Amino acid sequence: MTSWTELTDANARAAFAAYFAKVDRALAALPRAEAEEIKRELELHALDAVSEAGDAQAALAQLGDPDEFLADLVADKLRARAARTFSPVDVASALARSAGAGLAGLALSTLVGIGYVVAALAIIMGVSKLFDPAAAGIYRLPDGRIFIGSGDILGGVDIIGIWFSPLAIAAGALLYLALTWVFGRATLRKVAQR
Amino acid sequence: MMGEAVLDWEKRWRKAVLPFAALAVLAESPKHGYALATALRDLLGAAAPEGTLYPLLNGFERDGLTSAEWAIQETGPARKTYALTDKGRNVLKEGVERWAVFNTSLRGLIE
Repeated sequence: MTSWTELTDANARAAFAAYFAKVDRALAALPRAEAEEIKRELELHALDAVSEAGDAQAALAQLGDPDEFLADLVADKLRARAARTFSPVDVASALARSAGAGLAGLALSTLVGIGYVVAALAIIMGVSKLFDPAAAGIYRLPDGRIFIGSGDILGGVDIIGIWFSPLAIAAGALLYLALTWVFGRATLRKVAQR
Repeated sequence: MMGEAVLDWEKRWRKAVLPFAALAVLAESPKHGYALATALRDLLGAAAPEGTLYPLLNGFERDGLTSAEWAIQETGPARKTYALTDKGRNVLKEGVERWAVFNTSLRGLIE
């Protein structure tokens, strides 16, 4: 048997249809070819289990709840894709998926998300200085402390002037690239409870 | 009550060794997902839902521990078959060595 649609028992077909509709929903965030490959593997696995156990419900229960075991897989694949493309859209999608894949995923997404906010701020400050030299910079305050940021710096001396712009933009971009590279290699592997 | 606690420990041990055991099973010969699941079930019992193997296999592949290809079968449809890479064999070898040290320490404690 190569497809669950060939199952002769109507109850078994209904169970497979409901299960693989759930699989489709769980894999919806992935590119179609990737999702189809995973679905095909699961289908063949379930059909083998039916041939062995003779019971579709038992075979599908043995495979587990797709919402649980596919959440990590989808999050892993989206992170890997983000690390390949470095596209902000892929990064945002991976962040959202990882945040929904349990506590470890939420913690990882939060930490990396904070990093992205810092990277974005650096780039925004760098760009804004190009248009308004007083918008941001690295300042030496009257009491000798160094301040990096934006706003009215009373009595502060702008140390590097316009050089702040390329440096801040480069630092933000490098942070973005490094975070995305690390994020793509992070692993959230858990074995679901039975 | 005591027996339940021990059974719970055993369940956790079985789950914890799942990645290690999966690599060891693949070291014997390349396998598709269901064959791997069956071998692990024989070895560890029903330690976890079998679907959890797929995120594990995806991680192995991403980390270069296994390679996978859709292999034509003598009978039936093509199956995605996983094989251990040289890196996977080295990781497994290191795991086996560390396990032996761990096992020796534990035996020293309980015997």
